[in-house]
Amino acid sequence: MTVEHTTCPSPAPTAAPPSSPSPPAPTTSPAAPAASPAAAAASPLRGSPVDWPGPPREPWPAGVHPVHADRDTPAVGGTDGADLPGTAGAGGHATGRLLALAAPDLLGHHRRCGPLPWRGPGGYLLRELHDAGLTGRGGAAFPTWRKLAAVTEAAYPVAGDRLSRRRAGAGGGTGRPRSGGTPVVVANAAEGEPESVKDVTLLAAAPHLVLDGVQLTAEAVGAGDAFVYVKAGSAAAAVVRRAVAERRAAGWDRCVIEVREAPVTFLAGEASAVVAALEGATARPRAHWRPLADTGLHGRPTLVHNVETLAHLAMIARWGSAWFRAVGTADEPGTLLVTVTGAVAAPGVVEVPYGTALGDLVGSRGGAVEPVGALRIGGYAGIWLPVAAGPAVPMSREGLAPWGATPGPGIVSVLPARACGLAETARLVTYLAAQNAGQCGPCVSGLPQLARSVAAMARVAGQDTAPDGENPAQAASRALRLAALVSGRGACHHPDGAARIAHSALRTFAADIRAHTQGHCLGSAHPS
Amino acid sequence: MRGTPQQRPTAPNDTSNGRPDTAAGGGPAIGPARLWIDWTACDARGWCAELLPELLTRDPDGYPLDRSPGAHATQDLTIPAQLAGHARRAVDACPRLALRLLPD
Repeated sequence: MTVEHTTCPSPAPTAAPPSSPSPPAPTTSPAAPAASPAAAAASPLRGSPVDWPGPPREPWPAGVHPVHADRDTPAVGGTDGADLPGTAGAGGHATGRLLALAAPDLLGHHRRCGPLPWRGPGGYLLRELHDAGLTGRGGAAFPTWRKLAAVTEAAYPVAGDRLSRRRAGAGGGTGRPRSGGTPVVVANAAEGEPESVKDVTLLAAAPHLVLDGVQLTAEAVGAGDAFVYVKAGSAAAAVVRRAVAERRAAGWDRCVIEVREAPVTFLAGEASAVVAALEGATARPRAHWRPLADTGLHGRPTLVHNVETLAHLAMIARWGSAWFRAVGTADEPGTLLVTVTGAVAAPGVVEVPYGTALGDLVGSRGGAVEPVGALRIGGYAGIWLPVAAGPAVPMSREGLAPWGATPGPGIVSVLPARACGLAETARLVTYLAAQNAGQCGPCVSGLPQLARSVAAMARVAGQDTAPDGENPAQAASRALRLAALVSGRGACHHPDGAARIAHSALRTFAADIRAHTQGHCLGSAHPS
Repeated sequence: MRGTPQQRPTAPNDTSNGRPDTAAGGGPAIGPARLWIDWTACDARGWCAELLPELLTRDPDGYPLDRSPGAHATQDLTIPAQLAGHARRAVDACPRLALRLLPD
């Protein structure tokens, strides 16, 4: 293995860690801007192998302005993050945590965040992540500590442990040998969801924070190497290549990081598709009955984390779980990045605590530019929320649960009232159908059928008749049947997503279907 | 073999008789299990639905379909212990090697 597990990079002779016993950040003043040049000079990038001393002493790192759920206009920091594209703009919203720590170069990153808080292998980071309650930010919201624990267990099984024996195939009739090899960590910024820009925005703004997360995860699970898998052609791809080179030159990392580009397809970021792509195959999901944590890249235990998750992780490792929990809700602590898109004044990325009202979220990007018909949460494969749900609905799993929605990958799309929700859904499902990987029968055959049904449902009776004479209401019931038929029947959850958005359109735009059947279109605005 | 499953002509007796290593229909006793389908390999040959009609039927394209109402919430099909042997035979018979029995 190309493990660079040098226990501690020996400090360069010129480096003087003893002269800077306290890292430059966090400083004592939360409102303080970046550290002084003197502090930076005293804390060279090389040779700071000392562990982060003691428990985190400051609730906020330098230059970070706390975002509180109860504060309606959070402070706009004088941070570098404020002028990054897509982070502040016309909305003039706070840049939160991740984006406030944005630093394009390693020196700036070091000033803001301090050195990497190496803890050595073992359970430290796991426990901290468990206490913090960090969940995956790629859409599935799986507890991060459990993924780390699964990889650790697969790589270093406890003898006689029931779970590892089962994993190894004993008693299950599976007869497969235990997975093996050194774990591998993948930072996923494929961002296949067409509406989402939060991953590439974060990676372009704060590459070193994400790469710190990769390093700390790699250390915690004993990974030999790591990958950053980033959307091809995005600004983030160039930024992260530069950042990796910079860290290599500075001797900042212990684990080798390789940057790979992800094709721009919807499914390129699915975890098993990521593994396939890194193995040199087409970036398509794979059927895998064992979790990737057991056997992923070339059979090695593999962690695929969204880049935002890793950035949060890097902050938790530095400032602790209590700090992380200071914002958000008790069940869903911390902040999340949300891409606000559609009919808003300044589409872009905003970082908010969990539980922020959707109205505030839209307001933070300048607000809606015209009357709102409906909101869509979670992107193309998300859920339509009727405008009647109101702007007070919180962006959290708990708050969205009554609507059958989840924050998903953090996308809020505003559909104007003059637009037709059914036509929009037809566009989405048609896209999703076209983006199927062409592998699983029920999806290959079912999604185009579903797309045709939804398109037929979006037709207005009398104006343009369906070729088969089906009226929109009939098409809707066919769509409902097809949605139920494709769900859960594939190597990945792609068909489930298409079924979800179609199904949700049937509920949210029921009045529209009626109107279409009667020969007129309401747009998506309907009272109640 | 579409439609309602017929009563098996020779209902498999529980031959395990307390022995832990066999189950109805032969094969290792695995208790309740999940039937995992490799949808990328499945070619709608339909053998599994023939061999496990209690649990599987076929969709209009011939692909296996969970009979239980409200299925598809999870991707795997739950196999009760008394059908585990038949499930094992379906796994072994699949010409595409697209099936796998997993514990739980």
